[in-house]
Amino acid sequence: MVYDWMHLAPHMVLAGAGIFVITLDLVWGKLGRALAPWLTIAAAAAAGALALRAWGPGAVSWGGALVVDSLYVLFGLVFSVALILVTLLSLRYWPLDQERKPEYFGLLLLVTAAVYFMASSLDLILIYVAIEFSSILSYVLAGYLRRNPASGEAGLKYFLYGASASAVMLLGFALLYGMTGTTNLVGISEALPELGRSASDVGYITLVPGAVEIPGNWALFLAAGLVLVGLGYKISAVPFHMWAPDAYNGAPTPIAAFLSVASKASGFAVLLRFVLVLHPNLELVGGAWTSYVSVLAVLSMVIGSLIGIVQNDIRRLLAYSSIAHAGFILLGVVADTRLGYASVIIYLVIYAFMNIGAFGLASIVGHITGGYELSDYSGLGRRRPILAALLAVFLLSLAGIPPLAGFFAKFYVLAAIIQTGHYTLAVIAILMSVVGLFLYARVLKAMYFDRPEEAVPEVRRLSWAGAVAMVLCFVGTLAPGVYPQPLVAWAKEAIALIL
Amino acid sequence: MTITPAHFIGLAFIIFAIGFLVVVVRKNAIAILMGVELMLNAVNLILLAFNRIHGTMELDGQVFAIFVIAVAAAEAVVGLALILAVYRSLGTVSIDDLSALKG
Amino acid sequence: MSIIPILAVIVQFAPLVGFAVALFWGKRMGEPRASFVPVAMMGVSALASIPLLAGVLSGHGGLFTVEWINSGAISINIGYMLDNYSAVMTATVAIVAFLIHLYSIGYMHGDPRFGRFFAYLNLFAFSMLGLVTASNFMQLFIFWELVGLCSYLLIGFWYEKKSASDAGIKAFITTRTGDVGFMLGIFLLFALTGSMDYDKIFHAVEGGAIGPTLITAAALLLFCGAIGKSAQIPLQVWLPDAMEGPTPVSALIHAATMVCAGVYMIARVFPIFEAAPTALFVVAIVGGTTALLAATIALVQIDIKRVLAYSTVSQLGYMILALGVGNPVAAFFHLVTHAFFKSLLFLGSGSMIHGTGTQDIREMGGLAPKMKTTTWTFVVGALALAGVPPLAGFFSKDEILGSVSDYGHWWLIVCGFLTALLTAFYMFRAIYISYAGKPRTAGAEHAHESPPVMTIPLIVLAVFSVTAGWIFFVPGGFGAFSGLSVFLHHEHGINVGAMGASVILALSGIFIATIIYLWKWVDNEQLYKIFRPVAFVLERKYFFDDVYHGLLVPGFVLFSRFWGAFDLWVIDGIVNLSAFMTVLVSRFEGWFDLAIVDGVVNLLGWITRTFGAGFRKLQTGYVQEYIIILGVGAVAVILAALAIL
Repeated sequence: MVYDWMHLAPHMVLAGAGIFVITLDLVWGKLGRALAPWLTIAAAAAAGALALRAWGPGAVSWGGALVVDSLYVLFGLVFSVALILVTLLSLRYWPLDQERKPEYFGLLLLVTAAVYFMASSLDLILIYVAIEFSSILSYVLAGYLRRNPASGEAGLKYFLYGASASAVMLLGFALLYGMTGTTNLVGISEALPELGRSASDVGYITLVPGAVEIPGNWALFLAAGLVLVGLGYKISAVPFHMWAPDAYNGAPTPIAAFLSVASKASGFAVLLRFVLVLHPNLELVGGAWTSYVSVLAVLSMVIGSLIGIVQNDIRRLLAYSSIAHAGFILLGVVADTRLGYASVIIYLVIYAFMNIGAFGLASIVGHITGGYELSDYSGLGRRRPILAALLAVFLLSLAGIPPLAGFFAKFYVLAAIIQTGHYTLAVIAILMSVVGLFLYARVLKAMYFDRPEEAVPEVRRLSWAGAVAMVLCFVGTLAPGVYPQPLVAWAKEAIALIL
Repeated sequence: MTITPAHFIGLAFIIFAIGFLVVVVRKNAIAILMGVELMLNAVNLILLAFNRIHGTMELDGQVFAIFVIAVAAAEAVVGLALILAVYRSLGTVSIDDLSALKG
Repeated sequence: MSIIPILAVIVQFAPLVGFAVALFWGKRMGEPRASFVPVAMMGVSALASIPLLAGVLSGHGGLFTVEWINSGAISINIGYMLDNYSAVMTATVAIVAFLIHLYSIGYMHGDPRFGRFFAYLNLFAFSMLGLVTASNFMQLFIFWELVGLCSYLLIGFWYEKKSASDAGIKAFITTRTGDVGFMLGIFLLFALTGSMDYDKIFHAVEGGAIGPTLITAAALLLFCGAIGKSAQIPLQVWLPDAMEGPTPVSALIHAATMVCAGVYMIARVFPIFEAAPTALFVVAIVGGTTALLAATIALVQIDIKRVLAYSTVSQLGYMILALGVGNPVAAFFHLVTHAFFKSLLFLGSGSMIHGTGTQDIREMGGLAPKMKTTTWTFVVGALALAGVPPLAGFFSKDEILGSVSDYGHWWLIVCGFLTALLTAFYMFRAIYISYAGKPRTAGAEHAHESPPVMTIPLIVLAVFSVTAGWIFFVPGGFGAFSGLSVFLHHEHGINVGAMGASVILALSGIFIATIIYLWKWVDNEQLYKIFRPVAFVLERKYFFDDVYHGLLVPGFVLFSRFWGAFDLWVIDGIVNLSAFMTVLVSRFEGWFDLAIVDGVVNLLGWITRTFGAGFRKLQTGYVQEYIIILGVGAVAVILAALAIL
């Protein structure tokens, strides 16, 4: 069917619920406040369940603009899980109490609808609109705390950076369209061989008449580079990462958790979509395309880990850690094999749980003590043994300590790049995970070995919703470590179905 | 000399560069926002020119441009709202005053 | 999916929940609430183990594994091997552990680390259950080390007492010595067969894929692990010292379950040993000798828990002996019955200690009328241990002695039967001294019966101690223990000669003890006169007369003493030497750490921090600079791409 509404069901459920929640808030505020979080969770779960139906090699509809396949399903599940966890975390997050909360949940739902679109679109127009849709809502959410100057600053800087980056990416899209005459990725893929032939065979593309004419494949590199800027900004890969620490720092912490997971994953979804659809013909434009992805990966790992070490604010520390993780995940793309792409998915799923866990605890500890500095964590092991133990588990998992899930995430990425002979990259990755260990160890040291200089008062109580979210994250961090096989099997199957 | 669609593309690149420069140089947040709009409209020009090159039977480029215009409008709204919010809390729209978050 | 593996998961993981709860909330909940969840979880585990046992015995067991990790060359399965062996063992461990948990509520009353104690006990139960149900060597080894860790933590539980923390360390080091061999054995088998799974290794062994020398080497290396864990000569030294731990720990870990892990392991992987007769002979000799020597040492002990400790070593020797003579079923049978009556005896001794405040049997006396339940249950335990029919120990011990007679090696027969006599004797010596006669100290004078939470487990265990052997009468019941191809002496008839001899020996041991310690028919002079021609017996008499007064006599006692000295000087010397070496090495390491490792680490740390601080300056906070870097990055990426082109 050309216009298959069932393919759009998850997107519609999320968007519909989002609009409904916001409207309900306007019409009947009391009910809206009571229902919003539960509607959010229900819609997220329903969207995930509806998306599951699409498992398979891929069905294209809506004039070739929309595709639903196994890759989309796994990304959709990551988005839904992230939304549920972040909703639970936001439920009692105190700075939000002074703002309009139902609207906040409505916006979260709409962002999730947008990232669902990002994972399932096959057309440059739809991809661009979806990316902008999710970005614009993210700016609002990052700047949601109107009484907090830091939040406003984060929102505005994020906005200016994101708008510039996506304008650059849009230029790349326009060039792609110009060279191939179509906005559909499949059509572009089919047109690539024409451009890929050596410069003499294809006509020159005139950029400035009489002055700047470039061969078709050069134009392709120009376009690819510009697109990579936009995607690099979404996944916060160096050197397009600079918005991330400031945005995570100023945004409400649950939103930082959401951005660091769902937003990053959506960027990877688009990147994988590009690479996998163009894959049959990418070789034609020179097999070296992976090498500049590898440059981004190395820069991200190195700069993320190194700057992370000197951070004193847990949110900034985690922001740099998430930049370093983006580098690790990119390694799977560099490998350019089935195992490599599967490892990207495995990594993102595991990363979703452990990173929301870490950010969530930052949010919970911030909620309880009102502070985000490392000094607020000194003696946490004694004051709050369970919270400290949970945070330790998430951080150790992020550091890749076996048998926690983070180890397997890194393990499969490394296996993929070693299999393809990228030994230098593997060595750098291992070195950087050691540096990463330092990064996380600073928090552990504060929690377990430092004594607070003065008693840290607890100003608010731990909320049950946050506790539930953390338990879910804990399970998600532990289970794939104890028994990774199903996740690995799904990821491999998802890739095998479409590549 | 005849004006061909290629000339529009050349012009659009120049406008895009100007837009980027505005974003990078101007200190007023509203001016930066205008720079962003300039970049987006430069791209619109490119899209329309390419659509012309590829022939008028397919309208992909024009459709794309319409979507970009819509998105640009949404972006402007949100941008202005954020600038307003910052102005309310900090009393300034100069981007250099927004550097508390760093390092 | 069948219900069996789900039950197994419940049985194993329920204690882990208890562990987590007690660890995190134990302190806050205080006494006695901290014990509720751990004990309840252990109860769940024990309850679930019964249908598990029934299910497996009725033929629904098997190998339940899942692929844990599969990445090309490496493929590791994890899962449960649930056959008659592991199901019986699981039920035994779970039930005994539950009763001991219950008992501990009373015993640990008033301890400042009450909750922590239950956390450790639960962790131990989890690990032990994992050990017995493991389906491969990797799982086995992980849990093997975990039970060792729990043992160490629990022996040193009262770490303020120096002797306790010393004993913990000694246990840790000594068993670790055996574990080195064990680990090498596992690696050897893995190298030879390419697998860690029992069934694959058995298959390879039965298929004759491994040469006789290598299989013997592998079996002997595995046996090293059992020597350490099950306290066999020459690594038996740690077990008596381990009595420094709280008595429930002694009962659970150092009598009923963990120390049997070595025996269980050999029975579990018996096909490997079966293929190596030389190794089996070594096993038999070590087991028999340990049984005899430990029994002789037990004769001179005055600390009730040490009597039981040496008795445990001796009984473990019996089990190892049974394995060595090729009857793992008998060893396993004895393991199960022993678990019941020995934990009963330990808990009984705990009750005595609780009531009198001393562990020295000379300071007790006349406890019987004051502690009625403790007394009769203790006597039941002692009778079972001595092998008096129709109690549990009789059937299992008879099985072992029958196999030993069939095997026919003179030294093993001497060890086996002499130990039977000595066992009965030393147990009743301890009973008469502590329970009979008149109270000798104020503590014994004011002894009181323990609370019901302690006596009920005693009664339950006493019932098991009486009845556990009756499975012998159940048609095919004994055969139920044979899960694998290891059942050599299947349906092997009752060896009437051995049975008669063992009963007579047990009764005479009791009788002699009665004469000397209860009726006091013989005093020193008389005994000396009667047994004068036989120097051996003469010295023995000296010993029995003067043991309270700490007089030392040559001969048999000397023999015991020699082993005591061996413990004290040679083994302790080695331990001390190795401790000294460790200190030396660690000093060197400390210097090395400080100068080299720390230096390098600090340098690296400095470099990373410096770079970090440098890169950090890029993040100026000015968003326009970010966008400039974005632009530069974009240009760089495109130029790089063109350069590659």
